[in-house]
Amino acid sequence: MTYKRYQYESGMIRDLIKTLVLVATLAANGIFMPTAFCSPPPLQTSATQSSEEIEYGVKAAFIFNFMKFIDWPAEKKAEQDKKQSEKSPMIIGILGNNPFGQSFAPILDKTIQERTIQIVNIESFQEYLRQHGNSQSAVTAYQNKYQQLIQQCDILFICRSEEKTFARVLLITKSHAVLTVSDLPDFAKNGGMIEFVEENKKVRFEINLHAVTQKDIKIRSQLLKLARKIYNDESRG
Amino acid sequence: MKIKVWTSFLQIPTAILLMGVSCGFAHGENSKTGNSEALFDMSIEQLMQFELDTVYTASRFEQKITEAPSAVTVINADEICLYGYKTLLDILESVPGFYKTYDRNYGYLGVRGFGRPGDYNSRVLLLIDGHRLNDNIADGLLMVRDFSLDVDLIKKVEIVRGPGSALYGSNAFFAVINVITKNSSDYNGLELASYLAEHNTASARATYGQVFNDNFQGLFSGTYFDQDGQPLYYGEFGGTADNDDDNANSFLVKFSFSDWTFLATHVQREKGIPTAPWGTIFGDRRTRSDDAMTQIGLTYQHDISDDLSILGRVAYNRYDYDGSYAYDDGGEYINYDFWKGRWWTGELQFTKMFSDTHRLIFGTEAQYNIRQDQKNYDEYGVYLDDHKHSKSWGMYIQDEFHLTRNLSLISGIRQDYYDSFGFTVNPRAALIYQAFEDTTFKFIYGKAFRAPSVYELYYNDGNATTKSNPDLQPEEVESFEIVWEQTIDETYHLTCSGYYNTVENLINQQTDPGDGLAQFQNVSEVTAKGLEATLQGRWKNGVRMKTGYAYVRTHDKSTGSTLTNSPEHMVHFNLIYPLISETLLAGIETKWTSERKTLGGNKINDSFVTNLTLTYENLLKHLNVQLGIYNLFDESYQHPGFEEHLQDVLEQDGRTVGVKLTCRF
Repeated sequence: MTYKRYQYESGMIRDLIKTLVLVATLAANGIFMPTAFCSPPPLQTSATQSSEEIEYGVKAAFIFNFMKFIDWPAEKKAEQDKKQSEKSPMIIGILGNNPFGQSFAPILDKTIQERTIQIVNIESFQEYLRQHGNSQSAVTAYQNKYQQLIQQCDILFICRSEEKTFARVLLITKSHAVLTVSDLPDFAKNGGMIEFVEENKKVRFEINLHAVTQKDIKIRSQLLKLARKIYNDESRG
Repeated sequence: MKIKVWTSFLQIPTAILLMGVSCGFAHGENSKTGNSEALFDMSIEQLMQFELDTVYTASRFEQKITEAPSAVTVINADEICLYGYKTLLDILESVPGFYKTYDRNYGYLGVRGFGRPGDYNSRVLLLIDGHRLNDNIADGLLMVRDFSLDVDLIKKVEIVRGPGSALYGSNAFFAVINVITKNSSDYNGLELASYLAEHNTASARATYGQVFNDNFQGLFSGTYFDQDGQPLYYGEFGGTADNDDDNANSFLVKFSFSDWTFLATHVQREKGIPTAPWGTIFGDRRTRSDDAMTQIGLTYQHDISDDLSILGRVAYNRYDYDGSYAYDDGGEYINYDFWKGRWWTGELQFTKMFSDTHRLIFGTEAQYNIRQDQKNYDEYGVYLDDHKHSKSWGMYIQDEFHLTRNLSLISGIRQDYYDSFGFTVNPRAALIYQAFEDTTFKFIYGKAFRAPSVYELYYNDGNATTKSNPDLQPEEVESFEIVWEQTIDETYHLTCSGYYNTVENLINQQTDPGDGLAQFQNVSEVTAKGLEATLQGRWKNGVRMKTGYAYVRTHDKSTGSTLTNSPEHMVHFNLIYPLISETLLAGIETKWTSERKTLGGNKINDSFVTNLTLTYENLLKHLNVQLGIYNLFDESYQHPGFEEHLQDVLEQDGRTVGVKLTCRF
């Protein structure tokens, strides 16, 4: 069936498309060279990652970077080093319902300050008390079980699941050089060392400098100046 | 015609053979391998620039979906690509409670039971990067090939269901939809796309995006679309009309520099109208519509201090509609219909954090309509030549109050003033309770309004058949909604919402018994109660599933029955399945819509439509090829006709195959 196009010549359009495809073909073969991306595009929810996975992927990367700008007291590692007659690994403890998934996987073969990185999962304190009853004996039992493990950590990330128990966890680390990190609200105000905060779609962090210096941990100025807020006075907990 | 199509198709395999190792990868904008590895290579400064997934539209600031005072759906660029969506209406149809109607001229969106024939999509507010797009004659929206953007340029669409007038004013009646455009950094070079499909459909797009230096980015894109359409048989006329052609050009220019963003979009689209509406000559190719929409906007966004930020927007908008209708009343003549709208919009907004428990947002918005012209004439006379100009403004405030760690109250109110009817005040309050780590409940109450449009107020043909009604009042809706959001096992996400809407002063065209003239009046009261449930799943191997059910029961007090064109049940099932991991992906979308009432009082059968898209990524390193089959099972289904159609029902498209090639340099 033939008909007249009212205004536009479809043949012309067909040719335009064919030309475009052929131009693309020719160009692909040499005229235009693939250029490297000038700046990597913001990685957002991909076909395989949920927004939470990306959030914790970013936080894991922050923690990895923190290690580059923090110095733990020499004595902490010294004893462990002597036992193994080589540098013992940096231990990142994750206490609670672990939201990181596989986020730390890419760095398990990297080194920081000549040490390898080890991730340790520690049972949720809050869950433990829920199961064993919220009594002093349960608290003591948990402490006895995990105290040493917690105190050996260089970084301890306290998960959101520990909303009611993080203060107790901070007590366990009280006289040990453990850098405590969390994204629980008011963590830094209540004696935690580094708190992740979300602002305008981006991850920021606050530092309780008082808690940090009490344990003889040194945070270099490059990291301090990037913090959103620094708490200097003595805080509760 | 068929032969032409197939030779066009042969171009594709030829092109593929000729292609060497070449262009840049062009699907979506992110790399799909080693996302977390890339993160560890970033410095802290770079990590601090990294944007997390949040939604802006629900509260006019970025927040997590679970903290938003509404039921929210987000559709990302990768879904738009993998499901083969070609128009905005395709995208929106996948939202729970939404459905589409197509009359071979314009596309119409039905929301929560409302999709009445003759409505101009005015009960939904559409924004592009926050700029209001609804035109200033009918407050309507163009949603098919006449939409301002090529859907390839969309980064994400945020759909906030429920009344939004407490923040956005008029038209935020049933939903607010924000279409967010991509950035130059999503392209970093030139991207070409070419699409060929049946019915002599061809489309080509060229996009160039570049980050020039630290702060300055530019994005330019142009799209050409041409479709001959198909001959359509209409039994009511006993013949075939060959006037279904569709032709559109659109372009986009976007610059961002520091806190400033400039965005200009333009679309012009001409469509043949094959349905012979309004008693026009059947099959006459002179009956067609031509719509053009331009928007030029500037946005300024700045963090004044840690807890105070400011946002300012100004935009100039143009809308032109030209319709021509071929009549034969003993002699042939063309009747011309004509709308011309020119308007400015401006807004200023402040967001302030008070302590850690209160986030306050307050702002003001104004619209100045320089031109709102409606004209209708033919060689026998001028029936309508109306020129209006008007203004409106609004002020709003919303407070987000964190009562306790897992309970927050978001309350807001907005006052609007319209030249035509005066003041209206609309509140919204939402109580958000995070009962458990993975469970959130939202209890929402809100009111919204829709100002009468210039078309409803003043359209008349010299009192021959229609007369104006300058006393029209705004439509109002009062809504109660409960939302339950649940994450299960870190793999599934369930969102359920139940709502009860009461719409008052619904504007309908009625016939005045006194003089027999048609006039828009505030006549109806309609209630709608419904339920929407969606379950989403994401697995590590890349499989993504989204399935949902929506139920709505409308009741029109004036007729005592349900609304026309309002399906009671809808079920949808979407699946993205990697056939070969990260290389060959299948996108399947299935939607079942229950029967709908027509204007003639009949019922259209339920429809079951399946679309399949196969995407081959990284073919020859940086080429993306897609095969799309719309209506895979060639299901015959109809949509109700409108007042202007002799046809009670309009047959929709059968199976249509298309191929798309995208390539980046």
